[in-house]
Amino acid sequence: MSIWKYIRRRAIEYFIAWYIAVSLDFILPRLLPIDPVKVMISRIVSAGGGYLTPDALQALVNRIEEMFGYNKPLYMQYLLFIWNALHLNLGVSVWLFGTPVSDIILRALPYDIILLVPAILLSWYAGNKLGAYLGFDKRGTLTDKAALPAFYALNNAPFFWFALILVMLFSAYIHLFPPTGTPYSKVPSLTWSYISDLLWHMALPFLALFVVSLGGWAIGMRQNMLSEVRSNYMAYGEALGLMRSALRRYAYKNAILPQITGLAITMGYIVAGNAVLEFTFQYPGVGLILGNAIGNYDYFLIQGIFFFVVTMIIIANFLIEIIYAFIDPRIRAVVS
Amino acid sequence: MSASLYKELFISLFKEGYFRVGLIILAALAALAVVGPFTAKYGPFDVVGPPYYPPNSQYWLGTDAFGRDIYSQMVYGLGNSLYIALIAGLLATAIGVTIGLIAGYFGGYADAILNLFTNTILTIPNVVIILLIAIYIPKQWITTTLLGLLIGLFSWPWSARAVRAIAMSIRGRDFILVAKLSGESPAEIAFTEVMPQMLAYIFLVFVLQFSGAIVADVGLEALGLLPYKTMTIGFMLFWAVQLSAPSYGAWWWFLPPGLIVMLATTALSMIAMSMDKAFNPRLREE
Repeated sequence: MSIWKYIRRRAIEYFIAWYIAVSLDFILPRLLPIDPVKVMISRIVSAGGGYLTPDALQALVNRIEEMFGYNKPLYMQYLLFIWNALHLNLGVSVWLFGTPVSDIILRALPYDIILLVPAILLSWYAGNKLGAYLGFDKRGTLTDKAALPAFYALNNAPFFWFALILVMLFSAYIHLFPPTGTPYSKVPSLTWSYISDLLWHMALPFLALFVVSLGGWAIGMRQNMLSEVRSNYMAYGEALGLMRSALRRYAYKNAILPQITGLAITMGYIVAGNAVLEFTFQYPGVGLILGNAIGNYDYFLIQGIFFFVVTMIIIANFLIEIIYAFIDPRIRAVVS
Repeated sequence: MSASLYKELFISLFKEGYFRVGLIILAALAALAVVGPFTAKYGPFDVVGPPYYPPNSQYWLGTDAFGRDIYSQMVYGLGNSLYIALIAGLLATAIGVTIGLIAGYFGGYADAILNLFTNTILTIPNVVIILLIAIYIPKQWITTTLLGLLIGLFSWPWSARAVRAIAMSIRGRDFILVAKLSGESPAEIAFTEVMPQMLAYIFLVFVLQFSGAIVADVGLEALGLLPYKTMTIGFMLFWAVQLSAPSYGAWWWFLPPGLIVMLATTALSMIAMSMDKAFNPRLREE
């Protein structure tokens, strides 16, 4: 099997995974006892003053059911849902007075990318270096023994809880950083005043993500280094009289491979995991929108975010897996 | 695995300092969860004093924005949170071991289908899918048991993968061949010959799942997926976030519940790490 055949097989598997997830997104609301249309209408009515004549109410029900195709047979609804979702037609938000769901998500997404991507990649890089240092250079020493529980504690600290501590330290006690996310008042632009302001507001959420993720990467890398050190090729290298630095380089190259797979999975979990973090800082990313959508029973917004998040995660995972297949000669060996 | 081998494993486990420390922390937390409610002077939801009152002799850990006693919330909440994680851990381990065992031992089509299923669930973040389900469930249905089951239902894929790999390595051993020749059915071999070989490993899987469930539960509850009229650690943190406790300098409100989560999960991680080391000599440091 050539590498292209391997990639094609994985692509089909990822497509099936995506398809199952999107189908769940369609089925779940219809299995469970709450009728989203009724909930939304009661919210619209209470927002609009609280009273509607029965005729007007019925008209509203019909309008919304028609809008989402609820009056069509179930299989048509299903096909329509997938067709519309593929065209980013994800319905409208009730909470934000009829703004299209895809507009809301696309507006929030850049904020996630500028915060999450640097935070994840930097903590991944620093965590690998730290883990290799503990697992190779400091193996079995007191430093290693003391650092490990600390990293485990960090790894298990909820992001948002760490964020609360940061807010208290750096914005309530020392007035260094603002307690909440980006300024809504400023219009995004490529001016220094906007960018500096954005970075200043991003500092605390970034720090929370960076420090908490660091623990997990360091633990993983330390473990990988330990098992590399014990392997036969390292003993062979030592017998050949290779320099310690050369041995370290070989071990590092092998130990980092599983960390790449970990990176793919984290990318997905972080979108969901940082929803509370974004709420804590009122940082206007997809996580905050999700939190608000849940709080406001905005079903179409939740459904849309789920579709979006799942699609992004599966694409990201697939890309990382392809890169991985090209980097790791063992995968090429297995597939051929 | 014979009884003497298990004894040997236990002895090498207890030699690990991390294992003993982890076990002591865990026992202390369990004791607090059981005995704590008897030492609390107030109910977890009772408004008993002024809001934002710092810790003192009457309110041991102070009060929250509603004037509820934080110590009482914490000791009641700890028990409920551990219960949720326990249910989740047990369910996830059961599903993961069953699927991993069948996929790994039988191979072929069963493996292909189960592997695809596992990978699908693994790619979708479990927190997102649980939220999607929970949002359509009437609020008064959300109990601690239901939360535990939901978390367990979507947290098993990691364990299934790990168990599958081990089952595959056991499949080719001689005693399996002997069992086959003596006429045992494939299901019988899988569950009575292969599974006992992995008991120690299954316990490790449970420890990891239990720890993961504690974190997942706190995250879900902090997002507003709260059990109906039941105090939990995540419930406390939810309100601390919603009413921005740190802006009022109310460290006593959010520090203790977070520290409890960290203590419990770190203790479990230390136990899991020691077990990993005891079963897998390649990880031992000199």
